[in-house]
Amino acid sequence: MEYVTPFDERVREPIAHAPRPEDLRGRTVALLDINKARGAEFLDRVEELLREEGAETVRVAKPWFSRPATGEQVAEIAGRAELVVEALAD
Amino acid sequence: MSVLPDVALERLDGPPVALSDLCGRGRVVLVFVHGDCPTSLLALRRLAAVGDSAVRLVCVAEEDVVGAARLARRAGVDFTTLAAPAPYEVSRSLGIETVPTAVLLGTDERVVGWDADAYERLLGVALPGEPRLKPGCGARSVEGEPVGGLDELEDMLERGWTDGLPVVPPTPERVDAMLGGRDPERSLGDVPPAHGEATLRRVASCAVLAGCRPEYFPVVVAAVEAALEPAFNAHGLAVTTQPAGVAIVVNGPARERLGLNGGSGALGPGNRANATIGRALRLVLTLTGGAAPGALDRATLGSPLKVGLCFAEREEASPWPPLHVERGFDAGMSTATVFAVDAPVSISDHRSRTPEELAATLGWAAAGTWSPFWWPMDDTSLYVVCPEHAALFAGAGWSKERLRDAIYAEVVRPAGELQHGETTPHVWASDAATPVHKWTEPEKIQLVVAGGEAGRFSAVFGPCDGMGTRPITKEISWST
Amino acid sequence: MSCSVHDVIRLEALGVPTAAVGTEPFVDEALEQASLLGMPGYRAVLIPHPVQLLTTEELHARADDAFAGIVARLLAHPSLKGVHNVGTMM
Repeated sequence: MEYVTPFDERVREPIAHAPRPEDLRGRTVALLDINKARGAEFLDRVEELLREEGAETVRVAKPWFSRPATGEQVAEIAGRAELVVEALAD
Repeated sequence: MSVLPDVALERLDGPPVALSDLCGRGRVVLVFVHGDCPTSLLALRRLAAVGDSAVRLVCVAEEDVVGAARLARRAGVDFTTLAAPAPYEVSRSLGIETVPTAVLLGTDERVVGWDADAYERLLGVALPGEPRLKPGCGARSVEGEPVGGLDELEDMLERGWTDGLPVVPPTPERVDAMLGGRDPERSLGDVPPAHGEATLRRVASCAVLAGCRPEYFPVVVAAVEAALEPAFNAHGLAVTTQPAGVAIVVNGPARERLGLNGGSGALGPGNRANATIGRALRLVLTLTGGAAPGALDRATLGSPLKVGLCFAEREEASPWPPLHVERGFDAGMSTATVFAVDAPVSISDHRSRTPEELAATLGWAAAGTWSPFWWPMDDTSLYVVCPEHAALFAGAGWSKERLRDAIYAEVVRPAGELQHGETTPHVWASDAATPVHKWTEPEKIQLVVAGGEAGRFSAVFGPCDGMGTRPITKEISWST
Repeated sequence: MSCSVHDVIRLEALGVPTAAVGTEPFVDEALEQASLLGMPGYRAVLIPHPVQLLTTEELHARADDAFAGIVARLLAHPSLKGVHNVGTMM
């Protein structure tokens, strides 16, 4: 018996991972805070550790943890940093 | 001794692993399992409790990586888990016919089914607890995936085209009848978080599954359009841990035309239009949108209204303009308004004689919704005022705005009473005597009228926090 | 976790390596969401749950524990076979 499926069964075009650098030294890492409670403290320590590895850091935040970032926000972050750590989803 | 195939298996927490990489790293035991086998789950739960052992455990699930992750989460496994889905090359090469089967890599030693004593010998650790023995299940490499039953209702349930309750199979004939000549390719937008496209064909499939009559379809379409507005934030509501559901309130001539219930039992079961329209929207969100409970929907508890909730406003019993007129639509139009809501709280008030007293009851009933201390809330509370309560306000000549302002002004506490563990930064930063309201502004209090003629029970839905969600109203269009 | 995965995959598509951090109960959500968006090999960094009740020091300790995994995601292609740090992860 054939049924009309409620699912969208199209397969999305695969997206390749971004090419990775060899090391962190001299790279700018954006610490993207999703703006849920306690995430900033977690990122404070990650930032410290990244700086110890010789990375530069920049702090950014989304206005809403409950929404994906807008296209403009994503483009802006991509323009400011070479690497991104996004936290903390609980 | 079997030869390991040269294949890399997906790993949950890192890059793929070739089984050959595991050889030569000490004693490694592969435990083959799959998610439809209760003995597999038993074995994993017992093994998850194993502390330090000279043997490293690796779970090999005959599942795709998401299924493997779900199984590992259910069992509480935190040792390495690999996904070995169809065509089950690794299972076949090692001659796995039963799950769970444990294989000591590099040897012929294995344990088939759950055998606590045999696992103790293999791992060199004690495994206390019952049962000691339990037979396993057929491995997927031997028996394949579970097949649907001949019964089409069972088939729907096994496919997962459901909310756990029986559904109406969406045959092409039923879907065509539901579409009523509308363009099946017309899209209402992407439904997050899976971003399935809500073509009218798919929405009609969900409406059929839900048990809707074709004449209900325009309401379902309006509700889906409303829920997909960015300001509603269907994405956040779908994936949150809070028990976020959707309430659909219908106004205008559609109520009588379709036999929607806004009277006795309006928030409960018993009316086909209410039940199936609410359910159809939820199926669009959970099936087309992928927000299935336990999968992408992470509600910790959820709530009964996540099966669906739709009711008519009882405009004739209301002293105020109907909701859709309040929101800028003509009285003669039919509309569907969606609200993001947590479960409702019942509000009994059988003795208040003045509007001030009744407003206080309504207000304080909402004080504990979401949290007794996380104040103020910048989120909408939806009240359903029963006809007897509405009549009291009507008799006193109170407008809805006056009632809204009274509720807002009534529910206030000094910050000191709110300074408990779960409270807002605003409360912590305030002096103990600073008054703090439940809501950030009166406009967060929304009110509609519904319910039977007799009985003084109103209700207020819990607000959804942190979602930035706003109620959305769409016109119901009858055109095809 | 779903919204974070949306963000990081869009950043990867713009050529920015990322590490998304969440808590362990969301392991399958992260995998499913990444697969739905066209990047089934994407792996989030997961830390033990819960985090809301931790002290700042405990949160920093979580960051210390997670740092190697974060750096691994930023520098190494998550889908490379037999990546050099399999040994440490195993």
